[in-house]
Amino acid sequence: MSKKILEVENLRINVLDGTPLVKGVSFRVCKGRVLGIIGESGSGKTMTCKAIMQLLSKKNFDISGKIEFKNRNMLDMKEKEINKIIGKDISMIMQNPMTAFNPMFKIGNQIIETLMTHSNITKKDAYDIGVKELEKMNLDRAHEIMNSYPYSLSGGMLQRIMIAISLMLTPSVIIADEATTALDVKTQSLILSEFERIRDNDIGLIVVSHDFGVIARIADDVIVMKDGEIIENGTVYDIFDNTKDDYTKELLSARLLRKEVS
Amino acid sequence: MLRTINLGRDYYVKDKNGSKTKVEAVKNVCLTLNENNSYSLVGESGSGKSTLAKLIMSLEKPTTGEIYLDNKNIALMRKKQLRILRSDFQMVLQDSYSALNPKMKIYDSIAEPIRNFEKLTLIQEKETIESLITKVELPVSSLKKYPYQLSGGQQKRVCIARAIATNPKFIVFDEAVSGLDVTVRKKILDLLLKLRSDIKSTYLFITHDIDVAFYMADNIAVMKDGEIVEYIKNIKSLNGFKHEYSRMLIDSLPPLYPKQRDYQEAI
Repeated sequence: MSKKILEVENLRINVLDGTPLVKGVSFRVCKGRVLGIIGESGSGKTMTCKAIMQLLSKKNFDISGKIEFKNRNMLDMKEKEINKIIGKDISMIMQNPMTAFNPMFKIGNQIIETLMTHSNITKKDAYDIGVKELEKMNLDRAHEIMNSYPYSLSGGMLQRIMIAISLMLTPSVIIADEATTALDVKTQSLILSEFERIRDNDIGLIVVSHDFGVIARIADDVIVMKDGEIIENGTVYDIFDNTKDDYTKELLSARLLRKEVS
Repeated sequence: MLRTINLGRDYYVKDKNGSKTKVEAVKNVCLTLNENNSYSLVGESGSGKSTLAKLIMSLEKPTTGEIYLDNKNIALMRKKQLRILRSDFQMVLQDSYSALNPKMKIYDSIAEPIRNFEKLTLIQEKETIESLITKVELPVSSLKKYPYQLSGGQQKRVCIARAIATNPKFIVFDEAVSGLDVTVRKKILDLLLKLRSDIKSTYLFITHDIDVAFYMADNIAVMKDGEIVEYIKNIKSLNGFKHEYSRMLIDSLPPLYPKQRDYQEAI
């Protein structure tokens, strides 16, 4: 049995006026395993991820339940403690790589800034780590990339840089929220291979998607969400072979079946 | 019906020093599109698919080559002459929100092409628009709304209704279903297949997803760096593709079942 890193228990998110967004969600993330979260737009997938990342302001949302990281409930922690964990131990890769970077700064600056905020190293060291990690991501000409602005790189490249940055801080959990949705099939396949590599490094991965193809390719465990609730969960083989819920069946039927598969 | 001969389009890009370099976005494309048929054009981002679409739609002039629509070379035509022909070819774009005028009600958005090409009385116009909106499976009440009040899938349906309003012979879909939720995507694709059997026009489906291309069309052209590298008529299965690049596109597709994953990793 692999070791659990993050456990979410009975997570509820309400808007302050009482509208429920997430209604009691529980799951756990284990070392070296990929948890797939699938559901349509508006099913609460992203809200759950944001709650884990503590991105939801208490001024607007009422969050209850438990988000346990290393046996401590993050919802009870003080802001200072949370800041030490978020970004370093738990990091998130967003859907749109184009808007995730600051367009006014060179990639190198943004990498160095991130590294220096979280660890005590010199600028020179940060640069070297940056180049090394970019090269690990199969990005050639890392020095050139460090010196370019986000607009001059393609979406697939930016997304890989994003993954590289999140890996630099050696997190134990990475949340990929629709990280491949905006990319074309070829780049998606490349990014998914990188995810496989991350998983083999004993990192717990949460992959959020609306595409069962992505889930079939990478997930070990799957939860299906609809209207803020988990309606089905199990291993990826269970979900595909013994589908119980009608909604899951509907999602599965949305795949374009090839008449023959090579 | 539509034939392109050695179609090419160059762009000039300025580099840091201000000197121009030539980029050939489309080179030597020879395609023949027949009436009442369906075609797909597949390729990754930057392969020149959209440029080719713009050339065929006469939104851009080709640098070299000819485009014949029913034996008339539209590449040489003037704007005024083209305008008469425009009702014969329509286009559906990827981003439907920016394709619709945010200040126009859905009714007027759909009515615009009809008002441009046909003289109808108000009652006839209303009847046509209502029948169009039911064809794309939207409630008649949505005609009174503005684009921002509709979801992405509904906006797409409005764009489709607008495209079929003039009974075009030929419709180009440029990444029309990319960026939609998979469930919505399936519904839109099925709607398009159903419409095609009604309106009998030719579809050219441009996409980066070979799955979608295969689902939508009988004839598939694969494009790379501005050239068509493989063209298969009446395709029966994805196994029909032989070119290295097409195989690569197929291998990048996510598996349908988790069991195929182990097989894929082995490659």
